[in-house]
Amino acid sequence: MSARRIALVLACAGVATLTACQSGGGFNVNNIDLSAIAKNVGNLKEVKEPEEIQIGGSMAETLLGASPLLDDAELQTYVNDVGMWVAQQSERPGLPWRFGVNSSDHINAFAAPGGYIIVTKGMMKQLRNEAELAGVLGHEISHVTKKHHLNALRKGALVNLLGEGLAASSDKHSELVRQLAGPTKELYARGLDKSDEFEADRVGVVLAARAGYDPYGLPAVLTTLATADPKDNFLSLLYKTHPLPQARLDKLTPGMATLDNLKATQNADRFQKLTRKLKVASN
Amino acid sequence: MGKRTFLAVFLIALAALPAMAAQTGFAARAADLLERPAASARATGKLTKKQPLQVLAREGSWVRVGAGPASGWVRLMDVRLDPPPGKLPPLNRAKAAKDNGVRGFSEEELLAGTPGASEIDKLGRYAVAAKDASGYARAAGLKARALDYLDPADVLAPDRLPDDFFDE
Repeated sequence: MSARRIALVLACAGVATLTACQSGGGFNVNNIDLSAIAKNVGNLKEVKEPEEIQIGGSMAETLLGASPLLDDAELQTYVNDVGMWVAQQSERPGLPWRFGVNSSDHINAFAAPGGYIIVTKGMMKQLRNEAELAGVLGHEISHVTKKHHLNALRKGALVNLLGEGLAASSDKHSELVRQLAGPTKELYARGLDKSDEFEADRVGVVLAARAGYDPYGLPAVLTTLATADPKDNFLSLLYKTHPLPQARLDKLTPGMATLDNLKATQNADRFQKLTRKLKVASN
Repeated sequence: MGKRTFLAVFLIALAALPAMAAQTGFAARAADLLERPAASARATGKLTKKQPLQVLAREGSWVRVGAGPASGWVRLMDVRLDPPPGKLPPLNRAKAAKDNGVRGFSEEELLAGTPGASEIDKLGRYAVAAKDASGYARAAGLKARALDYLDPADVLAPDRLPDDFFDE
């Protein structure tokens, strides 16, 4: 499937609720008849994996445009080692998982379809050990395996895409990036449904625990976040797009009791050695 | 043991305490204080919701807390911590970061960003193969284990939610 076709299919999915794609014909963007694609709306339930990866890569490109990767190869490789190991415990170990720490002082983490995960420097500074990192990555990995962002796009976030037009381009990848930039920004500024976030918490703790880590890594991070001032600028986007940490902890509480009595590796030493310079650099 | 050796051992022991130790907090909900870190243990007292406490130690999913003259074990999830003094970035850091030319990830910056083609290539260069990650895990003493996902019905049970859950 070409980049243009992906954009078209998603665009059509986006407007399906407005019935534009279901109209009998004549709904054209740059002379491309969308009504033909509209007949396949039923098929939109599944975006094939190669397309999912292409879409996610384009979205990640937009996310990295807001804040570039931190220039620290050792730390980046470390986060990839931990993330890839946690991802191996999921139903989708074979995705081309990519993990990165960006340069932002804001406290947050992001996932894009197909296995793209970005953690902010600000988040890394809040974490105390590898089990907490594994918990955060487990949460983001769950967004990918459960296709939360992909489904959110299909539900209608791409409605703006038609307005932008679908100009032909010789560079299909950059065209897809361009087409998805608006919807991506909209989606990540608005956030997922709360139920998706709660699901990512409860799947994420199990992925980290399966990987051998202390299952309480993610709850420990949420406990830290629960102590923060909700009006803190560095948490504004996280608070806007996620349920309150207190509510997330309360939701996890009964289930966590089933993860009792596990060997709980935290690997604090290695984590602290690799993140020490972050803490020194900007404090 | 000489005085100096004793001091060294004491300091090492102090440093080895879990990160949560000696922190203050409060009870997230009413809970029994237990004699041992196990659900079957005898209750020696009670915590009321929001009762202030001190976290003394952690063992797996349990923490030993002190609340006034009483102490005992409660589940980690039944405890919330107080903010550590001066640990979180103060509000004016946002302006400081901007002045230093550091790009952040506020909503404004997300909306204003332009796609970073070179950054996505860089991200790909940092990626590791599954077998390398497994090698890392082995070296780090991590062993994969089979565990079921948490039961959503259990997690979402409305009667387990606190009274103020829907107040957000």
